[in-house]
Amino acid sequence: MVINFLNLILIMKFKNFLIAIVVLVILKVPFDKCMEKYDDLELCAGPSIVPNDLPEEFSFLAFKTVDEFVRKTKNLDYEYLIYFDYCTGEILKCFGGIEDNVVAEYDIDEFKGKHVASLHNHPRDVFSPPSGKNFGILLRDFEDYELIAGYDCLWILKAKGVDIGLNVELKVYADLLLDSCQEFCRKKYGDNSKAYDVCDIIYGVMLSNYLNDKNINHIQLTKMEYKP
Amino acid sequence: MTIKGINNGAEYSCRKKPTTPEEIKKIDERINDPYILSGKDKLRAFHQWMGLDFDEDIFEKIISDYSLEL
Repeated sequence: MVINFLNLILIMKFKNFLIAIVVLVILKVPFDKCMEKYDDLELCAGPSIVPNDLPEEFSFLAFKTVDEFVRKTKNLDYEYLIYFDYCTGEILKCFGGIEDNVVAEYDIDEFKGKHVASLHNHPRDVFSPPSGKNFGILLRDFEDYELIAGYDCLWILKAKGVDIGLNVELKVYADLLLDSCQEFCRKKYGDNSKAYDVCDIIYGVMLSNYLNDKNINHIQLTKMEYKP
Repeated sequence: MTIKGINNGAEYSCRKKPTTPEEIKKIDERINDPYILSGKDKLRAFHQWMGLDFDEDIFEKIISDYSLEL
């Protein structure tokens, strides 16, 4: 009777073990597929970042990860997003998106004990600085930095910890500022197609100034132009 | 921010530069609507609401500092 009971426990444990393996495989497939596609992207020659462009906390391996991402996504017309460890450079999660949007799904436990930064690209036809929604990082405790690879520059948003009030304020300000800049440039330059490139720069400068003038230790926005 | 996923998730979205006639028309509608603030007026109102100083020449100064004149 005791032996049968022990056998039953062993069988149940083995069954649970099998279920756990199947679940792990199912969860891992999208990441692997995305990584496969990411690995296949062509590396673009030309300007990119240099190691000193990144915050001091970032290792050289993290620089290699960021540099590779910049080169791989420079000419894409859709968004890619990776979460990586800025101490080890290891890519933790990978997602593909569309021209102006990428959705990430994860289990936050996956990031335990990691130094997490996110990195996504803004294709050429979208505004390069962070959008209002990008300040959502202030709602995610596990993510210390959000990096945005534009066509000709890298935006580094340091935002450690959660700050719901600041998230709301910056979202409102960023959306309103971009609308204002677009309206100003449309009025000033009319139909000129380069008007929105000017708008992109004004928006980035004013957004950085607004954020950095707050002089809050845990949040900072920096723009790094790519170097040849 | 859209929350999705196993026990969490995030959406990273950005704003497209207006290129189609429909997108540009929307900006023109905002500029020409006498009942809403647009451009610098909108920004001034936000600064006043937040109790912050507003530089009336801020756009022009950035254009000059960064040599952005087309």
